[in-house]
Amino acid sequence: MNELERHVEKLFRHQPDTPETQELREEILSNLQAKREDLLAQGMDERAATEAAKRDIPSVDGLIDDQQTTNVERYRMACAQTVWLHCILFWIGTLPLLFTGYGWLGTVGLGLSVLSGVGYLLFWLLHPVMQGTRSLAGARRRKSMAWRIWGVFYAVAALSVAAMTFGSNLWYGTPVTIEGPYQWAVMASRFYVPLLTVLIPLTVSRFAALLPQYRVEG
Amino acid sequence: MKQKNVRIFLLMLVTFLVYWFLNYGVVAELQLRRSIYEHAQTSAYFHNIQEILPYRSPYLGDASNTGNLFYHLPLHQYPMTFAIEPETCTLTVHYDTAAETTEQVRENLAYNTLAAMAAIDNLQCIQYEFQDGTYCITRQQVEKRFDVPLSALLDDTEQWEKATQHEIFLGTVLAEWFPMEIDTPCSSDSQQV
Repeated sequence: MNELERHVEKLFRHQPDTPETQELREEILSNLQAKREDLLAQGMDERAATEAAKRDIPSVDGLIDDQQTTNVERYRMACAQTVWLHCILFWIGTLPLLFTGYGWLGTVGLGLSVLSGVGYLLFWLLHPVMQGTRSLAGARRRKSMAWRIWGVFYAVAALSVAAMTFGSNLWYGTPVTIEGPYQWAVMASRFYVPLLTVLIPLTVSRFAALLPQYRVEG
Repeated sequence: MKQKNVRIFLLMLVTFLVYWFLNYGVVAELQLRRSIYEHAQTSAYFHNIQEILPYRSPYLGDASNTGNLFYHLPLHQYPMTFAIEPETCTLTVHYDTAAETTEQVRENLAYNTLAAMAAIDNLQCIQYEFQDGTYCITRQQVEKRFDVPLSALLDDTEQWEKATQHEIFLGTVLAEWFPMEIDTPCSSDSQQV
């Protein structure tokens, strides 16, 4: 794979693999290769010609119609199933916390798993047959936004926990003393609890990944 | 999708079984043991002297250390406040309740006195203030009961148990240190205020 092919591959990294995008991918690659040949013919060296050709098409977002006709009914069911699965994963994540002061999160995990399971079952029983359009770019934006918000949240949460746990040691210059495995576990659990919220951006990411799978052709 | 549903349901079922076993089996058992242990710490008979070892100190002046020491000794379930007189190295423990002069409370007071004097090297006198009177015990009174320095009792758990068994639980010091009547004044030779 040459450099221009790698560039085109990168441009289409987040696009669904459909006949239309395949055709567009080939067309763009051939245009870039033609551009590069022109520049080489004008006397430009190979590297500069490749870079100039790459600069010609830096993104394909404007070239692809991101509105996808979607089987909304099945897409929503898949999303509901994802929520159910992720609630169970959250619940599993809370099991080690039963031995710490955060044991109540196990009950929260149980409640969320049962509620999301019942919600999914209702979807399964009552789902209306419907189609509609969904924006792929919108789904990608939501995914990107979810990760950014979560990143900021976890950074703030982890720093706050670190400040509360080690603040006085830092201020007075005293050594941090953690005696025994239980105290280690208690300290680690303070950082681990906010980490469990990573399932939120993972869920939003999964929604974005599911969307192309429920595309309706024609 | 149906197959995936079945797999997710099985995962939920297994998680529920593990959760049930951990929460209502392992954790409940640990909590019960912890609760029994904590209850045992309110009695001199069952108190684990290792609990106070982190609070050993040569000086009485560290109020936080002294408070922590008493919060890890029997009678810690009663609200109490502390006062320290640095000139006389006297510690006053004020209980906001009337003295229950039962044998069990008096034994706990005797045990606490021995533990505090063994843990804090320059503690010369302890006063236990109740709403209806005060007990006052001096280091001299305690030391004359033992052949070894009081702090040495904490170095060896067996020695500690022997000392408390002989001197406190067999009742030989109770009548002298903590008599039933507590309304007489305290002096260096007497036990009461």
